[in-house]
Amino acid sequence: MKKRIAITLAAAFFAAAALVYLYFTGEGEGAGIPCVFHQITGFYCSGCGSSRALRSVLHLDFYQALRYNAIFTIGLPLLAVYFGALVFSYIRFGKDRISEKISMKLIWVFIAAALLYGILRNIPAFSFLAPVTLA
Amino acid sequence: MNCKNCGAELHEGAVFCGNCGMKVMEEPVYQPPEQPVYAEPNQGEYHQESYTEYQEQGSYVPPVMPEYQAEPVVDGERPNTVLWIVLAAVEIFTCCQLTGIISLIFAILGHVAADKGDFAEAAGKIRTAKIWFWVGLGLGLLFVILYVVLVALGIAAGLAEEILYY
Ligand SMILES: [Zn+2]
Ligand SMILES: [Zn+2]
Repeated sequence: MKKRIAITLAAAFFAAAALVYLYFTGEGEGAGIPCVFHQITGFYCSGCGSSRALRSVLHLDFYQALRYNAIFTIGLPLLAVYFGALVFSYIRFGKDRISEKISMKLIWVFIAAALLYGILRNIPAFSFLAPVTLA
Repeated sequence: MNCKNCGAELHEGAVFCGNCGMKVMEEPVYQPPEQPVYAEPNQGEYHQESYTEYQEQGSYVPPVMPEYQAEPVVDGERPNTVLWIVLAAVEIFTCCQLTGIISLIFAILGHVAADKGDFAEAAGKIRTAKIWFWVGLGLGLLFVILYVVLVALGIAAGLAEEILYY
């Protein structure tokens, strides 16, 4: 149990370091990791803008986060709860007792929505879904 | 192996559970002498016939293990497919959609196989999903490190210039 707590703390340290780094990146910048898909094709993928969205969430600018990547921003609280429960289950039981309880329907809906989102944000009529830095 | 009492993972050869202190009850685990066909993941479902065929070839005589034939479970537990589906999806969003997508596809294939009850196949698919996930994460980290080093070099170069010219 002590070992698991130590591992969790180490992982939490790196995650926190990454979040602090992201917090202090410039406005409109994400983690600085370019999207390979976007670089090659010029189209936005369903993940484009998610690190900028996370940065905006850290700055509590939720509307801007939605405009960078809506599906990521919507999924974020669910993910946070899931990972929180995972960590608890790991520390308490040494294994994952959470995943088996997750509704697969929800996951399929999210994957389908992400795919659709990735297509729509490249279509002019839905250009409001493309990542944009608000003034 | 996991503790029968609390479910915690046990160290190999442990006599007592490190978590709850329960004595470890060793089930006789059947260890095949060579890499057996039926335990190979990615090779499709394990069929009872294929094992008997294998036996009839005479090349392989298993040690006396009556329970084994009665319960030919190769991979007893359902592999954790949900976790890897979520992790692959997160990877698509956060760093590396190429490796993330490959990882996601394998994780989903594993989930489908597990739903059909083919846990050996599922475990193989999940293994592949894990590999792609970690490759992507490694590449992402490498990129971040490179980026930080370049920024640091840029700052250092700027400082050097300032010192030299002013
Ligand atoms: Zn992208
Ligand atoms: Zn125990």
